[in-house]
Amino acid sequence: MYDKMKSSMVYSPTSLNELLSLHSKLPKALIYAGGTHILLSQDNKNIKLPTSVISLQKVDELLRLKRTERYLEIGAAVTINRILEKASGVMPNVMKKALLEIANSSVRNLATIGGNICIAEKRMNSFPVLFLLDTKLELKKSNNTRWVDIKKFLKEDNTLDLRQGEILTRIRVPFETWNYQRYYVIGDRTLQSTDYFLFCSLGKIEKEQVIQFKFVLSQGDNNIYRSRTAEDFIVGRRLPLNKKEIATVKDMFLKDISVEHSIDEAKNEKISGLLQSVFSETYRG
Amino acid sequence: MEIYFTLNGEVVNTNVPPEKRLIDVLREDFSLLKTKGLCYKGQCGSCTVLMNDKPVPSCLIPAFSIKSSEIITAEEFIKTKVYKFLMKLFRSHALEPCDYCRWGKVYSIYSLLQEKKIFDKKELYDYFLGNQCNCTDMDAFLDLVIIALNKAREEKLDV
Repeated sequence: MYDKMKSSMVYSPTSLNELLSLHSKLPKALIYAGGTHILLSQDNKNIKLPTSVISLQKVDELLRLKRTERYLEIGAAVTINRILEKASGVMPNVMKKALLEIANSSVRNLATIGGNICIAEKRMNSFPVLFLLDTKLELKKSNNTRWVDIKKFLKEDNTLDLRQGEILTRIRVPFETWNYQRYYVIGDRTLQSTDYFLFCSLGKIEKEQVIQFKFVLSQGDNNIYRSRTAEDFIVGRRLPLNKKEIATVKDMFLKDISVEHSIDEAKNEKISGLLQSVFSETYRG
Repeated sequence: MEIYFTLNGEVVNTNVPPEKRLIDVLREDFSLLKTKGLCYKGQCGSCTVLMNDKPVPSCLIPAFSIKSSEIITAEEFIKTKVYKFLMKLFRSHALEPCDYCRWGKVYSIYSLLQEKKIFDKKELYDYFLGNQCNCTDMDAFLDLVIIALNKAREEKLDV
């Protein structure tokens, strides 16, 4: 069977310059890092690859991890398990939890952080956490480099702002102290499911009072839901919220997100129940 | 595509299409049949092999990715002290994993042993979240992992 097929041409650049130059010459080539998402989306025994494939596995600059006083910087082709091994002690707990929720340990030895961010059709585990942590992304093409806030990387139509010829090269996660951190995956966690929600919240609490709070809810498709009004309401209160406060947060959240997204009754009910359990701290994920 | 790599300690080469999955390379080109392909989704653990000493699902690896890497399959790993140590422990606690999830679990514990860290049950639960199987009770299995890690440390098991 293989003999009848024309095989792909695989390029394995060893430096960033070589990679960018190749990518500008072969703009339609598949950029291959861990490949887990590409292979998982294929049911056939033999993998279907386009004519040209550019593998990132030997690009030294994309395999680096760096820690400074202010941030953790991760090369886009660093695997999830390597981040967990090398940076568990310095990364925020929510990030560690999100990374540990990715598939299983063997898959995490292949899956990369860049791949987890750049999957076009859905927001994967790390995205809502990196979103709340004000992560910056370095995007490079042969003649240009730009740093973009991950919030801006996700466009209003929920697609990613990855332009022609660009490659995600570095992910910079700033260090900030959050003494309230929650991350839950709610629903079907199996690898290819989209029937789940990711909930992430970060807060600063002093003398039992919330002084800063933010949270997002992401669905297994491509949406990130956030309500500043609900976040502002939580500031100044104590956690866990009481019944009345939770009801207000739910109302505010659902009202806000329904402006930008179409939320049907079933989803509305799901989100409502989910917020109820996470804010009353009864959810045990 | 001609690919050179180290397989169970020997440098080998094979001419395969880059699109061929590693599991099929192992089974069809090298007749290493202990690596089984069941789900082809990286979930079941039955196709797990060690690639550069890290457990990976061979069903999710295209042939071009193994170039210059070192692959260890079950055929070789069963000869190791670590494997014998783990199997003895599994059997003595009547918690031997089934053929379906065995290699995912064995190699994951092997990775934990290499880290030489102390893990609590919650951390282990997160770690093995994707390795759950109906053949063994998860709670009892995690207790056994803790026993294995402690015992390996006491016995100074060479990993």
